[in-house]
Amino acid sequence: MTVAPELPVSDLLTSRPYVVSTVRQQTHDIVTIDVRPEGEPIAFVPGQFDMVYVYGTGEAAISASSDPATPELLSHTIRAVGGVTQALNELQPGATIGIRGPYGRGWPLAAAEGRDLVIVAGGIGLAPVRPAILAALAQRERFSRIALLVGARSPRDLVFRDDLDRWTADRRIDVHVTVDSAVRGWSGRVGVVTTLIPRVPFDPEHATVLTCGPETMMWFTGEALRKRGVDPAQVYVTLERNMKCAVGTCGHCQLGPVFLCRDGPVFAWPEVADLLGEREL
Amino acid sequence: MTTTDPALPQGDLDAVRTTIAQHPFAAGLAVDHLAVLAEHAATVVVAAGTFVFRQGAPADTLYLLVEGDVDLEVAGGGAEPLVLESLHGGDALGWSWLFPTQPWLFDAHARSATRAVTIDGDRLRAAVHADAVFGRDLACRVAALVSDRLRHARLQLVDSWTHDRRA
Repeated sequence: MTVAPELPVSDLLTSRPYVVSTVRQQTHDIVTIDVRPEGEPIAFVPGQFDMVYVYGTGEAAISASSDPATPELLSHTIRAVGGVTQALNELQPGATIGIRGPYGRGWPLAAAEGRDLVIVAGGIGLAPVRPAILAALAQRERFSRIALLVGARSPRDLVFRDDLDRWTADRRIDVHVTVDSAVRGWSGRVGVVTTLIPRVPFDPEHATVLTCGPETMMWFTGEALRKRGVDPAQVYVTLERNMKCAVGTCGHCQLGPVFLCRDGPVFAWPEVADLLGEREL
Repeated sequence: MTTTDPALPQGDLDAVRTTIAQHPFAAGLAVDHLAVLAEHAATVVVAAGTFVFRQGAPADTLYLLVEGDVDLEVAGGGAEPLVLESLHGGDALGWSWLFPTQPWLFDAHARSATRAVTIDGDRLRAAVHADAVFGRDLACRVAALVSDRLRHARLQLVDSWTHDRRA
């Protein structure tokens, strides 16, 4: 598992100012906000998250969705589901927000080297795995096959369409997209993302899988991968629930014995399989 | 529009049996059981843009899709049909034939030219009841198919409910 770069203690809880450079509408309720730091950029590893602060409103934990090779342009992709995320959705270029982080364990890209890399994303779950896809493509020779399986509720709920088009045309990655339902005219597949798992070419005995989406989707994905013959220890999920302090002290994100912010957000399947059905504490 | 498949001469049981044997639904099926399926089978081509079957019509066929894309659609209230699932070469379509006098619950619309093996549901049901070993094997395959579709439908529902709850 990729470990977060060490931050000085004084920086752990201090947000830095970032200026919004662009706001890209992904769907009717999801935007990607690109920001630039007022000071030095801070590197992150794919899968890590930040605490994004709308001054006067509050903070939300959001995974980075940008290319880790260019930390000077940091992106977060956000669905409006509450007060803070709604405020983030309404930001305009030029606005200043606070960001602290990055926090947590990232995707285990180094451990996947030499293996098939399979990425399964549901809905906005494509955002936290996007940095991993970009990093893997930047060092393509280190992996065997790379397959991306993307699911969304409907065609209008697909995010990063430009990336999907570009990656579909890129022979270095095998892209499969499906939606839960559609009307006629949609030329792609219709069905939940798990319907792709038995069909996509990869070697289950030599595959590492990264998956991100709603917890139920990840649970079904884990089951479908088990049925395909993938070692559960090679399946990784990212979990985000109620992160507040982001440094493992407040306990809001505790899930059974783990603190998602400190011990995750990326976990190997066996670490959390029994916890996915847990209710809020 | 459904026509016989010119690539596979009707009545050529060997060719039909080979096509069935290569289909994932029949993987590992005993040779004599393959012969039973082939005995009641035909090969068809469904033109793009036409229906494999329509909602409400008697559900009397098992389709083994060989090539092509078929959308399972539901239409109602004059609204544009909603595609609930797309099926493709290698998928099996239809299990209602196992129970007599069931209607199809959805439209099956061929999005592209589709080749399929069709197996007569009435005769297949009779064969299932006549041979307990064959019947158990086939029932388990159909149950696996139903289980997969149920799993997919539940995940679809959860996706929908969780999204609506967040909105």
